[in-house]
Amino acid sequence: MSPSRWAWLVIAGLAIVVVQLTIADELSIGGVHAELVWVLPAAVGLAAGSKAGMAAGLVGGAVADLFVPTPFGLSAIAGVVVGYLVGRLGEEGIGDLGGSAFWVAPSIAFGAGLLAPVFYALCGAVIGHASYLSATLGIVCGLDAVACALLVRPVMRVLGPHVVDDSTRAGPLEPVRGAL
Amino acid sequence: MAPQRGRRRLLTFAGFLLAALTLLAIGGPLRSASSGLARAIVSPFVDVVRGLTKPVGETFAGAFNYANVVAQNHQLERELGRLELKQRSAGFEQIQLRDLLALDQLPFLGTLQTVIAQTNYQNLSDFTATIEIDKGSSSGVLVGMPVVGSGGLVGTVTATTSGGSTVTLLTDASQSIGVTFGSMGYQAVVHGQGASKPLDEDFVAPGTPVHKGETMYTSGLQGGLFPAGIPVGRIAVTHIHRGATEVSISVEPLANLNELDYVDVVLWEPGS
Repeated sequence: MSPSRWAWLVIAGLAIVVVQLTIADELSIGGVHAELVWVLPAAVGLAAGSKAGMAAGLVGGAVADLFVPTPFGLSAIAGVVVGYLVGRLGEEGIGDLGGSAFWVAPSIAFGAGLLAPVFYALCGAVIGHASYLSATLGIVCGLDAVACALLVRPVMRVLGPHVVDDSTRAGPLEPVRGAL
Repeated sequence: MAPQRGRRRLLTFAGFLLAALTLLAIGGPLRSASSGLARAIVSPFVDVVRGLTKPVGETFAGAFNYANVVAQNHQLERELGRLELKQRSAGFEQIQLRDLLALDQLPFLGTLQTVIAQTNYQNLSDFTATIEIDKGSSSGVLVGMPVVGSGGLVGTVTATTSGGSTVTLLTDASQSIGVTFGSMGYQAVVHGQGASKPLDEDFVAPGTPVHKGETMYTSGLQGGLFPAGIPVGRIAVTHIHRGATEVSISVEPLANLNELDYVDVVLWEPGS
């Protein structure tokens, strides 16, 4: 990962926080709103593979944790796991994303958004915040999954060219363009 | 070749996970050092985007919470009518003086000392409900002190620095408050269910006379976490499940947790 790619991830993390604070926080259903922090590792993992996805999860999670009162680093842990799993699915589970249907990337992101809050809440419970496993977790999962599915392709399109490591790819940006 | 690549990938995963765990371990100082800078970077963009998207957000909120909006509108109309009546029967200065006195010395606090604090930031997360206030340990604010608004209990101080504090709201899922209610002083414990959700109550035996609209006050029990007599909430819904050993009660907080521009920190330490 070159410094410029890390810089792009920080910028993307901050941009997602802006969207979170201005739009997602306003769109609450039943007192719960979508957390957009999982979109970044999902999109980058699909666009550029597991290593970049994990970096996006680490950076995006750390940036997001600066703006919420939950333990600092907890989103980063869940983000790294999301980035790894989504990246692996994109690389090997699905194979060439370029040849897959348009709904594949949103479907993977939907799954990531569904599981990420559960993993986050479980990690929180392990470090002494059992209240994270509350009754609203189901709604949180649903909202996060929908947000991930809706936003993954736009984020891939915007961020893909800046985070893909061309040297590890067979052709320049082929998987990213194809996935879109 | 392939197994080697797989091992390398797993090692990379472990490395990233270790970095994230390190963040978790040293998170506190790192966050306090960098969150101010991050907020300063983000806030101009937030202001601009919020200005552009506010009408959309309000439309969405109205569409999904229409029943609430209508109910609140009716309630506000009733309150407005009462206030207008009051205003006509008393001079403006009199009302202003009374409001200020009410803020300065809340009736339910008795002789307890308080510090008035301004809310700097309201943290919105699906997992916790907190606010940041501008008074900290240098003003005598300590962890565990109760925080109240003009309507009643707001929450407790859960972290302090010299110039600010974090207040966990009573709706936070980690909060449990010993309460008393009814003419016979029945005891119960209410629990937070998350931001914007009513409180949930247990330890109320079937047959206990529970009336909708009844006010609940801190009991001073439950480990002495709050002084007795602070209004907590109003009973909104009661329900007894068949065969249940306790009544299920939903409690609406009395303090308006959406309008916490100013709060009072009660200089009272738990157990004192």
